[in-house]
Amino acid sequence: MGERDDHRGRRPTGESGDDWFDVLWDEQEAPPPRRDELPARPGAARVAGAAHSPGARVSGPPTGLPLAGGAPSGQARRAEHLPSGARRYGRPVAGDAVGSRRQMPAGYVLLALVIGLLLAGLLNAEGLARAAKEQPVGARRTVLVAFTKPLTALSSALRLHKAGDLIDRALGRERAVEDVDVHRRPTPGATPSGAAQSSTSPSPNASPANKEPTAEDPLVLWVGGDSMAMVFGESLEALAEKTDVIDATLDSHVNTGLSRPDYFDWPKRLRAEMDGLRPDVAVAVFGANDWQNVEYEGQVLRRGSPEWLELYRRRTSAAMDILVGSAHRPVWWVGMPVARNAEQSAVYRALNKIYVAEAKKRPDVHYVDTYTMFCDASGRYADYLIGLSGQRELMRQGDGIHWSRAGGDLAASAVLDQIKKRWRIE
Amino acid sequence: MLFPTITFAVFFLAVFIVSWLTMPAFRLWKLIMIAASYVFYGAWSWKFCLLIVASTVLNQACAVGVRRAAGRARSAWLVAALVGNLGLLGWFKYYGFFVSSLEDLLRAFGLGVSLPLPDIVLPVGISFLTFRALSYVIDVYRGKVEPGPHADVALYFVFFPYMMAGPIVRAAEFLPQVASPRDPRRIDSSRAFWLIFAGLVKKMLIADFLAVHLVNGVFATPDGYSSLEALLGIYAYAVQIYCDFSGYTDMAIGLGLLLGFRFPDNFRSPYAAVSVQDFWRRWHITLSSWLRDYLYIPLGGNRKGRLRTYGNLVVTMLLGGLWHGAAWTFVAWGGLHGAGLAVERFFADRRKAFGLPPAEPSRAGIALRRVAVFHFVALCWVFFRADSFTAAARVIGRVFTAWGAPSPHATAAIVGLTIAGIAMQYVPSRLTDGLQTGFSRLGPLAQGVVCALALFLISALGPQGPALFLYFKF
Repeated sequence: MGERDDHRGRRPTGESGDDWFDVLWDEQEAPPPRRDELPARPGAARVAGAAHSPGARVSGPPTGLPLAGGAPSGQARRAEHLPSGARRYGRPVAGDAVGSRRQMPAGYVLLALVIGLLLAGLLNAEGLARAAKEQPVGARRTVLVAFTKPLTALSSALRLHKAGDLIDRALGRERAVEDVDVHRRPTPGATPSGAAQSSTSPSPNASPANKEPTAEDPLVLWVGGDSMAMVFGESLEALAEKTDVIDATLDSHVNTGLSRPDYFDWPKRLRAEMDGLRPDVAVAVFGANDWQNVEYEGQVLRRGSPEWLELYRRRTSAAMDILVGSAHRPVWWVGMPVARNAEQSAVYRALNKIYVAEAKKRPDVHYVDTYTMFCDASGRYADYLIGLSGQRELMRQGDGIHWSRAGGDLAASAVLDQIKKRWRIE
Repeated sequence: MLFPTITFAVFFLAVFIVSWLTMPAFRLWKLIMIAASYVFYGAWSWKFCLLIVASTVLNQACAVGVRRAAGRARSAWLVAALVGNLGLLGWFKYYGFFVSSLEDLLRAFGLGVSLPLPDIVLPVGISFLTFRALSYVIDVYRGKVEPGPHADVALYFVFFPYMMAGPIVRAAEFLPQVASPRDPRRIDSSRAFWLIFAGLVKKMLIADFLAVHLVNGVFATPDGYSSLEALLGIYAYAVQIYCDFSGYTDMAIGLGLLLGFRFPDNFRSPYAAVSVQDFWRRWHITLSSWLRDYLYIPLGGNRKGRLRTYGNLVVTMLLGGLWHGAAWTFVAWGGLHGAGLAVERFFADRRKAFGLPPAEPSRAGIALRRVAVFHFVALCWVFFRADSFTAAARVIGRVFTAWGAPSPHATAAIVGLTIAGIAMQYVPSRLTDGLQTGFSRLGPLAQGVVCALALFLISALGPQGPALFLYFKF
């Protein structure tokens, strides 16, 4: 944006002798001019050069955050008033061309920075407060929440918060439920996501289990969840497409989970999705971000404690019930895979135990064990496993948790095989 | 720690204050900046801080060794640096790729062997670190730069504004700037703020929106999109990667300016290029100049005849492609650019051979060239973005096979932002320079208000959630 260029098809200014892929060079020949040796733009020489003549050293005040130094009216005056014996500052490099821009002393810059951040904070106090509350429960969150409280109060008193509301209204969005990664294809007859409908309203596909999918009346598949659902869901969409009789829709939201409905209200989202899209089958993946302390009825429940596990079980149970709904929609619940980090793996085993137990209570919910699917022959985590190609492929992203494309394909294929078998799709 | 986060804003504010307060005590300043940079990197992984320390020690030892030694010993120190740096990069970034490619090759000859494939975590920024390190030792070897004091070099290796994803600042550009204190009275803050806010707009308002609302979907399931959407998805990805990467380096350069440092420009309106060669003068300039100085020229450049020149161009770009990622799709991307450069060179040589002057196209000719080059570059990006050649072929194929299908994803916002991303290449720099000059003449209170409004608008209009940068994985 406004990068240096003459926009007339010529070489950028100052590069006439610097032919990037056409340089005759040998040990004896002078290297092409470096950028910092290039001539300054017009005007730069007068301003920067006057103050920074080559070889000259500029003396300065002994303190590090001067409030003087760059103001236009006082340059000469300040130069006269510089303390004798003040330390010397580095000769500016040749690229120090600033054109006619006024350079500022550090104190002024700090003032501008602080004013900018504070005022932006006041204008967006509600957003900051929301972001603070969304932090994992702990000391950091407590401090941030305490910091944003007076900010929110002041913003409210000055009515500055109205600006954010105006923008949100203009964009027609609800900040708390911001789409992060949604690939949605229009489905005939589907109502917009988030439509206020009862989650218990009967589905027109009264018995999705008995449906006979065709290209004209495809099996509507919803796949969603946290960041684990992103690559997996894309793979499932792509594989489902090949059947010609399954229409998949992905709804994944990074940094979300079931343990923090105060951050992202998955139950609300699931209700809206099930009522809006009315899928015949749902596939869900959760757990990547769920292992964190939560605040419940004014109490902080430490992750992994019996109270925490019980609350998480209830939230899993509720999510499964919403997905199944009154139509007894078949649901595939994909467990968390083994992770590179042993402690993380232990966490996922604990979460998977809850998913398995809750799935067992519901005949419509099928649990998919990806933990062992992504272990090697010795039962341990492995980056490389035999993929759908029949060759060893990289299964994970750099974090050792999220699936790579090959990993997503492998997991999605396992789920799709079960779905195809269930509906006798070739 | 990502730039567009509150955590980083607090971190940077603290660093800014401490940096300028301690500047008079210059040695202390260096230690504090080194510590701050390690805190920044350690927020991602403390474990790999040790790797940075090891790399710094190894390369400083080699640089000093090169400087002090003579004859073959000099070369030995250089070879040690090359082996150390490339070995480290090879192990972390390419081991799995090479082993699985070797297995595929052996299988083609009927040798079904299973080679060891340990689980390796790729440290963020290691590719950029390797390029910085190599340029330092090679420049010492070439006599272009003297080995710096240990503290200066330690800071050069880990300085947080460019640590994660560039620009690739060379020792010759950085070390003179830490030879003596930066002047706290002359901060080019108006340019710094401009770059930071331009970077935020590019990243948060354009790149992330296009990625989420079209590009990811088109590249994941192209068959679910119409031809128009697939074509728009390809254009949108070209805009996304430009806004994502140039946005990051804009912010890095701006943050450097606030701390008193100047880093080289990394982008100059790349989609206004009139040839592939011109594109590489404008795109990721610090990488292309690195490839030129440390790969193309040592390979022989254009000194070894026409055919060798074409070969050198292709080899340089193939390796440049591989630098971006351990996958054959990246190699193909580099190969296509190499081939583009070689073909252009061939025609230029032909003109010369026939005694014709260099082509001077009309305005319409320039416009046509720009359109052609943009489309070539956008086509190459498909291989860069796709997970496999099959996926790339599906995206390209979709452009030709579903015209007439409904295009609900080709929304006004997507089309508008894609056009804006291309149009911004043509914003004259005198206009942005004028804005910066105007801003610089405001007092700190007014500057703060302008910054606050810009920050508020970006945060209110942008998406929530983390803003990961594409180039972090390179």
